[in-house]
Amino acid sequence: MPIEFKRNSAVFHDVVSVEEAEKLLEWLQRKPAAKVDLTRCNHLHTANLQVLMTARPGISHWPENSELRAWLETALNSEA
Amino acid sequence: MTPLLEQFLSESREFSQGIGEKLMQMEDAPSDQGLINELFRLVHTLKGNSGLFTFPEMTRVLHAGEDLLGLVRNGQIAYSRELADCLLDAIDFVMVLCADIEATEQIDASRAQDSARMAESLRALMPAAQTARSVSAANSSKPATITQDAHSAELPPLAELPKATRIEALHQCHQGETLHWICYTPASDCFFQGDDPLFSARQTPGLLWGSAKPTEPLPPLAELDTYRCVLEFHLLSAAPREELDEHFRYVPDQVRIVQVNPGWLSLSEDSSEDSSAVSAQPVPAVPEGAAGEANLISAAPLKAAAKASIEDCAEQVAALESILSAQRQILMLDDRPDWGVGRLKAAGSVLLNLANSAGDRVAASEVEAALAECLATGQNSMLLLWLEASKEHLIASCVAQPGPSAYPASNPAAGPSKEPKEGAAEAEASLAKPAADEGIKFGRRAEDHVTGPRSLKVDQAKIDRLMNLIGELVVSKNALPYLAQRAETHYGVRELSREIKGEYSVINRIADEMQDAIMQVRMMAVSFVFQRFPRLVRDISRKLGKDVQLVLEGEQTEADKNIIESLADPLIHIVRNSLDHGLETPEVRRACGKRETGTLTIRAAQEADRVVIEITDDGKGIDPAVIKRKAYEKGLIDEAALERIDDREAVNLIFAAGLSTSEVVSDLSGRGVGMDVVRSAVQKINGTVVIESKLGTGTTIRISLPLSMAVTQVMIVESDGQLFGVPMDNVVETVRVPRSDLRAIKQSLTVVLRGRIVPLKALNTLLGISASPRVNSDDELAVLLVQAGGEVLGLLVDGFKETIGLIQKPLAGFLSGLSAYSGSALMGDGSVLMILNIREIV
Repeated sequence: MPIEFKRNSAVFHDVVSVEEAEKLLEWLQRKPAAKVDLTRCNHLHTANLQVLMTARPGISHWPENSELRAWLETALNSEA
Repeated sequence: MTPLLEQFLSESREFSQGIGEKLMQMEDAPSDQGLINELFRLVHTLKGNSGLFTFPEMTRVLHAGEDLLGLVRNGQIAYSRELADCLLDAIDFVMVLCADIEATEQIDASRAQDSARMAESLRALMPAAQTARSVSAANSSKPATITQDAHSAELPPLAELPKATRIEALHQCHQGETLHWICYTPASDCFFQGDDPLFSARQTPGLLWGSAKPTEPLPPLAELDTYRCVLEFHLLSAAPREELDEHFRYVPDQVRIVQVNPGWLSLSEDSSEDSSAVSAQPVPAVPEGAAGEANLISAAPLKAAAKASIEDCAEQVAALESILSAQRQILMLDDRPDWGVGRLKAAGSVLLNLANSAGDRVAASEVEAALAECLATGQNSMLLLWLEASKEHLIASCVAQPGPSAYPASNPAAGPSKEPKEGAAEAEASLAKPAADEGIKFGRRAEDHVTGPRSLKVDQAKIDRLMNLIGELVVSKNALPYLAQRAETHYGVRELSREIKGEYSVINRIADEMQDAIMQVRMMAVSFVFQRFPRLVRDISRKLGKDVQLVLEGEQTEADKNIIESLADPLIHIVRNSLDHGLETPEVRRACGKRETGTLTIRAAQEADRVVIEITDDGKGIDPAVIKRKAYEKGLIDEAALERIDDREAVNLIFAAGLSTSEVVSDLSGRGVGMDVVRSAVQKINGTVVIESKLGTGTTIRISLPLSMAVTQVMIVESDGQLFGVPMDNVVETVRVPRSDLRAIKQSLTVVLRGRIVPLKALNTLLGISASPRVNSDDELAVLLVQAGGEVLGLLVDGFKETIGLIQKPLAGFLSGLSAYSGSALMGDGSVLMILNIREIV
């Protein structure tokens, strides 16, 4: 399971593929206050990134992968 | 180069030529629907073929061409001359790509941009609505043409770079690295093509920094379409242009790559803040003397832009110094006095060019004078002296001259506000992008070297004719020895006879080589047949629920085209049989202690002048007892045979017509026709098939085929004064048997040879000749042991002659009804030799 949906947080694991985007979107629509844990995430498909950029959920943990973290920080923090 | 690629190239050439021709014909008949359909089909096929390989550049252009022709076909746009021009250009481009592929087996990534432009110019001919819908339009919000304009005018928004990154980038620039700014706007439907733009962006070679931004305001969360890409990526990379082109070669129409000018990095809105950061960077020291001479530096304001130009100058000064010192070294060399003049001229012309490029007429004339003097005296002193004296001056004037790469230093007061524009203009030039309205031309010119195709496609009938002619040559060549003999015996001219024999050996050699060459032409690799097996085996084993591994060996083995082609059906039968009857299901195999995966090996190899194909499975093997019983039940063998035949012979009974070991008839096999058909098909091409099987461990079927059907080896025998040919495939051995050894069993004659009873038949009787076989002086009969349908039989003949290779002609017309003969051949002395069909007569 690339994304583990807990009660109030989505935990991303390793590589999150395009198939997950739909689920992520639905979940975030239902839980506007949810947080996202990216610690173990190594890559996420562009579609997921779009969802995150649109939904702007709180990020509880940034990825340990520093290169991905830089990407996500620029994408999710700009204009925020 | 793989055979597939070779075939692709030769086909592509053919198609390209066809497309060109059709386009020309369209000029005369623009509304001919048939032509358009044909044209569309050609482009479509070519596109499909190119998609088999990783040639996105070719596919893209052809795809655009196909779309365009599709519209023409549907009458949505009219055929026009411009359209034809554009398509012809596209085809020329494809030919250029083909030449690339032929030379290097790949397309250089630098073609990607050309390809994208080509495709764009093709799409430009389509009505606007179509363009917007098409895949290649960079994104749906901007029409393609605007994107094109935007490319050159817009400056990359470097301001969005974080400060630390910008300083780092600037630092790299100063160290002589070239940075590129990439704007990657994925197509909105790219997710459906399996693209992950973020992944591509992250994988960009030499990536320094990157960001993802929405191209349009992001919709409210409830309205977001997950599968529509609305992001674009801005990337800064230190990788060379070629690497970037390579990385984005599948999406060249979606990326824009601009070389970053160092000036842009420092000259953003907050330049004052940045310039302090820049000055903190270590700047290479400018050589004192040169700096002093290059007066523009002192005049320039100490802004960041000027810093850049100082560095440019410093670089230039260093380069010039190295050039000049190299000339000095050249002039000082004295190891080869005879090269002195050449060296003088070389160094002189370098200096002259430098002076000219600096626009320093005085220096130029000085150099000319010094050079002339040196050449006259043969001494290098004048030029050296001048070099020493005017070195500084020359460097200064070179630097002062705004060269193509130098910063515009003539107007230092212009201020930094103007600089970016000039920089942009320069960057535009450095992109070396041809003006958009000109378009790109890949037209072939007369002086272009056109690489011709390396393979020819020839109608088989022409090859056959050539082969027939060579066959006739071989036959008529054989008349020469007879002639030589006649010259000697009949006319008594021994000398002439020897000369004829000499000539004969030459012609013989050439004829042999010709025969060999024509055989080579007709040769084909067995892979032609083998290539369909992986799929066949996979499908059948799936259907049967068996786990089978197919091993193909010796696919490169070659044989005559006819042989290879007639091999296909028998092989399929055998493979099906092996899968159905031979190999067991995984459960059974496990119970027998075998590996669950069965192995089916098809192996081809050449053995002398025959091709041997072995189909081996490690299945359950064939039980000879079962076969014998079945054969007896079906009445194929009688009771006596049931007792007599050994296991090996029994196993080969499966080739008999009407025998099936399977209890149930499936849609795959079991109707009892398979192996019989196999044998007759193999025999038709003069092949043999034998089977070996060991109960429980597997079965091997071995097919032996002649390499070529063109030449048959025939043994000539004599009977009642006539000559007959017997194909060597049938001949087992020749023996002479004393008449006393013959035994009569009922009406038939037999002889015991090596403990085996061999039935004998007189050839004369078989052919309806009334004469009885002749014996030689030792009262021995000539017995030719022949093999017919698995049995060995002795033919009583009068005598044996030589074996020869000859080209067999089938009997034609009225004679074709004679089944006793398989054909006829012309002998060297002009007589006709009848070839016996052993199977038919015994």
